[in-house]
Amino acid sequence: MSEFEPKIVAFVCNWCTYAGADLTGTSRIKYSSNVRIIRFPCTGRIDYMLLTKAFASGADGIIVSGCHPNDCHYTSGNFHARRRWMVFRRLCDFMGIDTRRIIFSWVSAAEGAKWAQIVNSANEEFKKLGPYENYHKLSTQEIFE
Amino acid sequence: MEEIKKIAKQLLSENKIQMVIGFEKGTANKVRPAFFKNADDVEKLIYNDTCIHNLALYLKKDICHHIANVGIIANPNVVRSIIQLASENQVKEEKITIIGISYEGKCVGILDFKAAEEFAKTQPKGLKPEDRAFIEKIQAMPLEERFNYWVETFSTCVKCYACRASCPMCYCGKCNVETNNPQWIPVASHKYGNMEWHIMRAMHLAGRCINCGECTRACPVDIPLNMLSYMLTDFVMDEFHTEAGLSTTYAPALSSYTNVDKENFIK
Repeated sequence: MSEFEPKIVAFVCNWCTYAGADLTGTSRIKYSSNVRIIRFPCTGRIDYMLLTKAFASGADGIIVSGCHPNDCHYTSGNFHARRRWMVFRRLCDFMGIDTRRIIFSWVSAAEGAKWAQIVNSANEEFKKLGPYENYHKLSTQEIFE
Repeated sequence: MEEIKKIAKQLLSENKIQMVIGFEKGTANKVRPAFFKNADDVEKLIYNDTCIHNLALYLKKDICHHIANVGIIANPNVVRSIIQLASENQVKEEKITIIGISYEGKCVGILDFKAAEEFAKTQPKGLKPEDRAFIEKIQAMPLEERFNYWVETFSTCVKCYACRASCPMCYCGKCNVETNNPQWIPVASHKYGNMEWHIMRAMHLAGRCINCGECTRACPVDIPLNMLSYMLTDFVMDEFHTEAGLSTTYAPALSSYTNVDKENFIK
């Protein structure tokens, strides 16, 4: 049997991390190909429901990334997002949703190498954690129980 | 109780208010919320230990829409709800007359918003020791057990949305659960949909919940869902040093920020 390849969903902001990921490509840096990048206007737009939806649709791990503090294209989107993530992480932890599977990061448009490193290390970690069966089971098999 | 009646009667007869929200005798020795529109009806008004419903809920309902000034019998939970609603620009001071009552059932007279803020500060909400013990018990469970606990607990949920209907802070005209394009929350009450609903509910009330416990009281299957909100209230207090329901100029925890919010979890 081949090695487990985690499905990773990356929610990234248009202005920094998406451009950063683009730089990773144009710099020809190799990184794990099992990440699916979804582009958003801003981290402030990334609703926590999208994260739970990603888990429910089969993601094993999630990366959420945007501009560094004070670099937001819309001035304060990432500050609002940061607070939301803090609260969401606390709630997830309390409800037993694995917060190790949600990785938050700041990656600017100039940090192509950092993006590659974030994805690779996330990939390694999610590989160790294995498929997120708990949540997948919840959303698929047990629906018609 | 006589004092409350006297104040309500006087306000109504002087036409300073056009309606009082209070309690009357219901069936089976229970009380129910009631709306008194003239001074004679106020005789039916009662107030005792069993009057625990959060009446602030009705301030956002149709029944109060066209009334110039609504009087409301307000225990500390109701006062906090009104303050929180005011901070979210949902109620106007000139349209509400608060008749304050302490936890012990003592009438403190008519409160304007400033007095209401002071009053709310003197009436501690805090977590009950048993609530705190419950939260700690859950916290001590291993991750998987915690997850299974909540999945099992929520599995009895029938999606009646009584928690939403009884919550004074859930006043949105159209709730996310009614949105079907995209379908954020599955309609059926299976384990997955229930989990998502409770995640969403807790998140929407984070930093806004005033801990009246109405959601759990209204729940027909006794899900301790107020524990999620209580836990988040604690978290918001620890991290952001703010608390809902104490100030009409409150900056909601999730729609404000500081430059120094903790980011030790962000890579």
